[in-house]
Amino acid sequence: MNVLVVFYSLSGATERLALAAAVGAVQGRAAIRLRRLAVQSGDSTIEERLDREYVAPKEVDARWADAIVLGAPARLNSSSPALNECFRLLRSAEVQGKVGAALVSNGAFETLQGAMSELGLKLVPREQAATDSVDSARQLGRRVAESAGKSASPVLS
Amino acid sequence: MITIRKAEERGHADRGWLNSYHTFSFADYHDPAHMGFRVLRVLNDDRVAPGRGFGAHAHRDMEILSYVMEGSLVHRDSMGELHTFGPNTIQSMSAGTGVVHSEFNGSRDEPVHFLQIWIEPAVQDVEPSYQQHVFEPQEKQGRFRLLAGPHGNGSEGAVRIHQDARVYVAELASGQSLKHSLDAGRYAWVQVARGDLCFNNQALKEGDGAAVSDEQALSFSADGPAGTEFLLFDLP
Repeated sequence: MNVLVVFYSLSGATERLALAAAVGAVQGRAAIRLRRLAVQSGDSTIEERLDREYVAPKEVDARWADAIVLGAPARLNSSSPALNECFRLLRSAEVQGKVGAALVSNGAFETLQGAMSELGLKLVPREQAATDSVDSARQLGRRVAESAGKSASPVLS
Repeated sequence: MITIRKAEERGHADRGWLNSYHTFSFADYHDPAHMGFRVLRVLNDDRVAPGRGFGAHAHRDMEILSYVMEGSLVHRDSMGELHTFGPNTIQSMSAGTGVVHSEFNGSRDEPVHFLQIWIEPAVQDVEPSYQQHVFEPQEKQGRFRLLAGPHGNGSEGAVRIHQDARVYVAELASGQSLKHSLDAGRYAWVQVARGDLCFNNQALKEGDGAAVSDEQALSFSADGPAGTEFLLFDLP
């Protein structure tokens, strides 16, 4: 199965969680794509590195994926153009019915999960999704891969 | 039996920022006749433009070695490892249960030329790990310098791989020669990294490889004026 991990990182903290989720998905024997939303952090050193190491998600990535993990910082700017573009892209890719998970600490969890739910993604339960540590992010990635692997069984509508 | 793999017959990918020659099938290059040799699965001869490289991507259950010929590489991975390394260094990553990493040219001005090697592990699902050893150039001059082996970090400072394979590098000046004896039942791959090499009386040039089966005595000499550098894989 294929897992797309898209993240919104300003300082590199969410990047670490996204990497952990990607590793978890690989542990769950998924192929992964890691994509970063093009957001400006104000720190040119971090931005330069993130721009070099990641590309922005495309519709083809979302169509490729059986599951989508979306990572964002706790203080999520829900009106971010990059985030809105991501949701437009996911909508256009017709991701409804695919497995989804929000990778974010409690602060913005409801916001992110609500938006993902509106896309028709089958979300992993909150107690498994609300995560702000590397270990729990890795577990989430693995669970997402496993859920996508048995996609016939709904996770949470 | 020695089977030569000519440099010009390798797979080739030129993406502008990346100029890569694939001894074995890799990425978009697929040749069922060249899927690897024994446990040696990938041998790529890569040149990467300044500041460019391979973004974050995943590996699982593979021993991945990098050996820089010129320039420098920056490695970053999901284990938190961040390293810059250049020539006379062996770098390895045991992907095991899964790792995500990126690797970039560490220079804004100079290209990097390196060999990337994948060896299939004997065991799967090992804990991912990163290793790197720097050595003095003279350690490979006129003799074999062990880069990787199953026992790894002994007195020779080689990286440990999860496979009964040994990877050596040697650099020979013009007129120098070396011998290596393969144990019964073992195989070898020879890869010329630089210059011209005479291997068991056969002339190999830069980029050429040779698969060795049912042979025990291996002899190497540098006949060209600029000497040679080559890798020897002693394989199960």
